[in-house]
Amino acid sequence: MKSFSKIKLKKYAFVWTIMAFPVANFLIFWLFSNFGSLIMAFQSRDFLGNVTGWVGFENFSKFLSDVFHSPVITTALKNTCLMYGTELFIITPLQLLFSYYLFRKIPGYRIIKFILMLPAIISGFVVCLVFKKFVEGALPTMMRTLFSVEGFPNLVTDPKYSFGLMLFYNVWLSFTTTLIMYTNAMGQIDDSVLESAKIDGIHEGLQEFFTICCPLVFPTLTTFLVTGFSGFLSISGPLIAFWKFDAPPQLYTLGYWMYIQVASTTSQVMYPYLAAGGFVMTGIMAPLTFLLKHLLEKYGPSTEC
Amino acid sequence: MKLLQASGNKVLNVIVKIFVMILMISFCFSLVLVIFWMLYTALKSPVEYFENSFALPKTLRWSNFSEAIRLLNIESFSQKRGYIVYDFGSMLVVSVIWAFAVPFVSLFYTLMVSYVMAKFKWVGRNFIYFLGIFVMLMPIYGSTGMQMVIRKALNMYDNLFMTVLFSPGYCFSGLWFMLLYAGWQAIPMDYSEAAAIDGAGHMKTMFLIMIPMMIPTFSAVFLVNFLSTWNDYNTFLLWLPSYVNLSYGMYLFQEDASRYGAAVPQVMAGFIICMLPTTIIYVAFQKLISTKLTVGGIKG
Amino acid sequence: MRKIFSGVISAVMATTIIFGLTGCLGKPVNPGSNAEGKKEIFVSLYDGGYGTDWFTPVKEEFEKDYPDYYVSVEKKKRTVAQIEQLIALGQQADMYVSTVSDFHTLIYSDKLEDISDVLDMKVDGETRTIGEKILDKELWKTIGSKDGKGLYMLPFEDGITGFNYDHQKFVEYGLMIEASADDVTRAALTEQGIEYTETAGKLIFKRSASETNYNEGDVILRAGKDGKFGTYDDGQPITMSEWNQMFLLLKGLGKAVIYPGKILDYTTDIFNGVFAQYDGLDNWKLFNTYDGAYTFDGDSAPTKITMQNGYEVFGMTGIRKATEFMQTYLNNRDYAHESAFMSEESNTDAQGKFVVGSAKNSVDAPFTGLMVEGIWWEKEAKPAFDGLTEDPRYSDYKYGTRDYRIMLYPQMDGQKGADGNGNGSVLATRAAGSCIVTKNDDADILEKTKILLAYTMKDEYLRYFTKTTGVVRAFDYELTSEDKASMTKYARNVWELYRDGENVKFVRPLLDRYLTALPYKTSKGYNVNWYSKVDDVSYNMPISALRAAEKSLDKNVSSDPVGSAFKGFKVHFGGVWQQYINELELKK
Repeated sequence: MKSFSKIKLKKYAFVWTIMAFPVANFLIFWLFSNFGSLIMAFQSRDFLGNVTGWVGFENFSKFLSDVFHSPVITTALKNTCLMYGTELFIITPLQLLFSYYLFRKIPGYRIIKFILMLPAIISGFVVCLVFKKFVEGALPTMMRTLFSVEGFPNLVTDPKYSFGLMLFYNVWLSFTTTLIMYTNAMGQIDDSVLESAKIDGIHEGLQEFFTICCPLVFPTLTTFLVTGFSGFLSISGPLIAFWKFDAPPQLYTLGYWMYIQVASTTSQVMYPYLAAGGFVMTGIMAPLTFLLKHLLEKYGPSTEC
Repeated sequence: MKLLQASGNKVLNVIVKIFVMILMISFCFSLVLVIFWMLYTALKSPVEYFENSFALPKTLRWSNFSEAIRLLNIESFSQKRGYIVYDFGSMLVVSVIWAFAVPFVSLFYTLMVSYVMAKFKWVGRNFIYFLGIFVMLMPIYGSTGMQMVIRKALNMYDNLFMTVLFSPGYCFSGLWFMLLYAGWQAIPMDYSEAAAIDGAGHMKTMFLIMIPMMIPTFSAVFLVNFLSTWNDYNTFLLWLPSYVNLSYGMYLFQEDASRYGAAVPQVMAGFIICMLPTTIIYVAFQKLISTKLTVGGIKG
Repeated sequence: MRKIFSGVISAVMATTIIFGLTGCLGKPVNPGSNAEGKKEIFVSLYDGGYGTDWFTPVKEEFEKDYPDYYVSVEKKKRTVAQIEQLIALGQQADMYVSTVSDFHTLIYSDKLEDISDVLDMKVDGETRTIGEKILDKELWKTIGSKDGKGLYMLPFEDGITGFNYDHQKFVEYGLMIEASADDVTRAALTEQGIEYTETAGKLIFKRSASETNYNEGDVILRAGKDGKFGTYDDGQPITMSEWNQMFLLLKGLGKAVIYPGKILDYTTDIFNGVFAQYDGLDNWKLFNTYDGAYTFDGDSAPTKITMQNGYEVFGMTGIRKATEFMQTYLNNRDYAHESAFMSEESNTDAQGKFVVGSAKNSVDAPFTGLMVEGIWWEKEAKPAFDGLTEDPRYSDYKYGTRDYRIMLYPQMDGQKGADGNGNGSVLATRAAGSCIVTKNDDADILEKTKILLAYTMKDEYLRYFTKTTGVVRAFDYELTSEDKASMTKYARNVWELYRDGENVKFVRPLLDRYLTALPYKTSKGYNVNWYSKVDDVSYNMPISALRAAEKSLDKNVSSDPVGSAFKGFKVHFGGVWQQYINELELKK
């Protein structure tokens, strides 16, 4: 019994030697620094940040009322869904399919892999700036000189195309690290597994993709799906990089709307309202995310000891 | 089931394969086109750029590169460190240090934390695991002021060494934690159990037996992080006002190009210079990244 | 591979520790060999388009006069938020020279020093006090005070925004209106001491006893709104029909107007100017104080405006006129260069295209007549001028030698104008910066900082500022003919316009809004003056509202963008006004 406790003690000593630093960091940089926000959500403040009173759930109800009444918020919610939908139904399947064919070494797979990774090598603001300058300036001229297309629209600012372009940009840059992770995960599949599958009549191509590769990259997929979903309400895609605080309202997502409220406000009068908004969003997303995580993990392999 | 049967269809397979290939090639082409445009814009004269932003340069103006390096002189000031001028070389030094040190320190610590979280059962573990996820989900606004006060109290503000030291943060949260956590889950405990029987302590086991098994994954994660840290300018903007790395320098340079006497071609030249090291590193270690960057799970 | 990898990592880690510990990154600038043992005054200068070189002689003279002190200079684009953070950290400069004046949160939280005493200072045997030199002293005393007490900000520069044009090209293309060879003109020319000859019905300049901007052989242009020949506005369109005619001609030549799509704010400056010129300065004041009466379109009697119904001001006729003006001339794709619709088109891109288009006028780089820009643009566009002159064909584009000018807004039917009687022009400024001094426990440093601040306002340095930057400071001072000779042609024209107080008045939207506490005591906020609600969405600039209205799916809105955007101002502010009032009440 005694030796068992000693072992336990040793284990705990080891565990907490490692964990003390991040936990302390958490207490200082997260809990302590954010506790104020929680309190603030129940206050009203003046422009100097002085507390002028306690308002109970007024900030929360105002936020919720804005969500339900403001047309910007409705558009933002729609855009948020579209942006997340693109990630879920276009980016993720494409990432998996691209990964599979790269894993299967289609002609030129090395160079394709290299090129698709390029955006990760370049600073985000550089990629965005170059892309915007190209689309707005060079592309219309290119269309005119090479294809005699006059009056090619400005895809960035023309409301007809601008949100579509945001979605495209998101897709355009999404085959970097994640793609490599999926490809590598598939690369770890033992040749014998593939061989025996072949004997069982499973051929290279979609069948192999669905029956072998997809299940085996499931844990990776779970990780991305859960983290992706948790960021659902704070998703802003490339809006910040593209527009800073000045995106046209028809492009807003909820996350971007919150971002500009915070980043562009110079009056502390708004802070309690925004803090409350943050908590409302967390209140909605946290249980849903945990539910998703639970559902996905139920089918995921466990290797804990 | 029907889907599975259909997926065996040869014609369908060929169509899908061609479709995916066309898609991939289109993506690659568009990426290459934009980057090629950046490259040749960097070789134009400003007047050529103003005249026609798409046309190829009439003469290749290589001097844009040397001009970008010459013009890239960023001044910074802090009360602590005084008035400092960063030329290209000094920014390069800051970039190299930053891009190597931050991923190494933060990921190494994350590696240890994820090991403890993945491989040991202890009271509070589940709580911390959920806390980590909770933190990832919780959007909090308006805490920058408080962060500033804390950083100043800990002597972290405008202190490169301390900022690097504290870079792991609460590393039981975040994507890299989750990846390394999953990585540990994929590694069996047999070796460590054997080591324990041989009388090795937990620390010894972790450093000598377990961590070496994770080195390939760690290296790949490190390299991917290196790429993003090299390109980091936000941290400098917020917390390290008197230090300027290449990325932050370029950010300031392009924001205010006219003040530095530069036009778009020189700015593009600056961008290219800035991305050279990451390109070289990526090319050199492409094999490592493209074989070892896995999030595990399939061996379990 | 693993070995190489670990090797590299170890080497870099070692370097990090060494560099990190010693902190030797970058090259510290020696504050001066004589700095040791001296007290430091730390000044932060806004490092914008025109740089900070203007401060060097001020620093040098101050350090000579006060040998126990040295001035360290930070050159950055510090935002108000950054300054607030730095003050919170105790890392502030002793003095900030900024292009904005949004320091009220700092004033009200007692972070700034009352610098009223600087007003009474006379530097170095000058005959006037600083207070006597400030152009709009009463305004500054109101907006720079804390509830009417003290003075916490002093003026910096007056950055006018307007339509800039290349006068030489306008003359070449026949866009300027020539003087008619009639008796009235002849008499006026003679009265001004201008000698001329007449050829084919044109009056040709010979010489002049008074100062003019003509060279021998130039065709004399019609006097502008100032009624004088040989000044900055000769040949400019005066009536709306002349203005329209000019736009049509410009469209035929290339494009009429260019402005950077990335900085649409400049168009709001035009909007403010047109509004103020139409409704007059008294109504501009009413617009900013919400105190007075106004007869709105369709009303027979004036409506009393108070803070309670302040949002009514957004229904002023001048605002409608300005909205129309903006839609017709700025937001019109027939007239506006593509740059105006490109979100990543920076000010320097637009400047480059303006300059290169003027020189080349090709399909890719069309001639563009007017550029909406601030008076600091010429210096920013220097690389474009330098690039052009590499080609000997464009040697007449040498930096600083071209005759760029600012075009006044045309006379609008029913306008109140600069004098309230329908005459004169109004222009709006964008940059209306200020100088502040932060609190300091060291009374000695504080005193010297104030003296240093006063030094920056010495006549000599006010002149030096304009001479070297081309930008004017918001003070009363004169330039010598040598000063003018050393300036660019454009800067001389701007100076002439700025000093023509009889005919041109300026409104300063970014200062005038502080005539009430709304921007800093309520959620109205510092940043934006103009919000317009179109299709239930509020846009923060008139031009954005117009663009949204044009594209609206609601045909009633898209068929009348001007009406929709104009109505939108009152809809937006009507909707939030009560909240502002509540917030103001709360703070009392």
